Amino acid sequence: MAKLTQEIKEELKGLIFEFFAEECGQEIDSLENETNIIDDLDGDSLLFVELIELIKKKYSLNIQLQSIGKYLLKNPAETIGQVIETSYLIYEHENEIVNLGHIA
Amino acid sequence: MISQPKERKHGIVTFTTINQIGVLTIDNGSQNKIPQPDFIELNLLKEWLAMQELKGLVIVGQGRHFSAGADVDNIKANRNKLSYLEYALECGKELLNYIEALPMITVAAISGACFGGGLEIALSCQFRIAAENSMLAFPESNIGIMPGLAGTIRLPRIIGRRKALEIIISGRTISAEEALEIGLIDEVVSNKQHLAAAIQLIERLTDNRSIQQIKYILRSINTSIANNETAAMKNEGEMFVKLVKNLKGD
Repeated sequence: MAKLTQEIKEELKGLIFEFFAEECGQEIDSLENETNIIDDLDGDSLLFVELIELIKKKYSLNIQLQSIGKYLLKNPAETIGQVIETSYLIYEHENEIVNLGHIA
Repeated sequence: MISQPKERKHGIVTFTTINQIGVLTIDNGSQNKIPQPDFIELNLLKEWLAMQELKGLVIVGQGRHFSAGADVDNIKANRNKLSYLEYALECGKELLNYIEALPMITVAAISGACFGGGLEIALSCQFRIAAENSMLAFPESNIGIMPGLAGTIRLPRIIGRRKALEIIISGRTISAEEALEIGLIDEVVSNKQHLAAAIQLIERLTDNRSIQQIKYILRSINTSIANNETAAMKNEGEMFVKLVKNLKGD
């Protein structure tokens, strides 16, 4: 299990905000943790897939989309904040994320 | 001088030409899903391509994605109509075979998702140029089916049997970087530069070449793949003789 340092957390958070700003044509300052990806940014599931591929490549993670898909069925990530939290878990657990179950 | 493009639209595709290069755009919502295997009527495509002599054709997706592939709900709705599904696949294969055999340079300009049916379309082109954010996959295995538009034939032909097998069975997503490494795509370009790069590729390859030359070269190569070598050699000889009258220089 990879160690999720505060530095990595900040890096992931920055990367995710930048990604949504760039892909959705928004000013980064207009985005918040509560911003809903589908309702507020007109995004879709593929946006999330693209982001995962980006994170996977950046940190050389061993993670399959199917594993994340199974996790997300139990723990949907609808806001930017939820996506950030999910990215922390992906970083820490990689494919084992599928075994985490429901996180309140 | 760049000529003014005139756009034509039908169903989920638009067609325009830029300097004798056709640009076929898949335009169906944010994911550019393919509602049926023949995503454009073959006769209409033939008509559009015949409107003027073209050096090449680029297929691209409108917006962020090339195409997320088939509309699975549509397949589910027709799961008991097997003869209809079989017929639809035949129409799709006929269309992609036609694109694959076109006597002009064809390039898939890929960005974002290029999944399933979208990847089948991209494989029918001679070249594939992908933006850095591209993701390619045959995810059919994950939902209990398999590629149905000759992806199991074209992919091994392009990247080899072993790698194709692994990709199709696993259903995993391949990044642009890996796709380049395994020869699935020909070039990776910066995000949003894929269409411009595809047009540049065609212009570079066809620069100072007559359309007749391009046609004959492609027909000859296509014939050599489709037929046996003897027929292909005979065909090549006939076309060579026709081109000799255009020989450059003294």
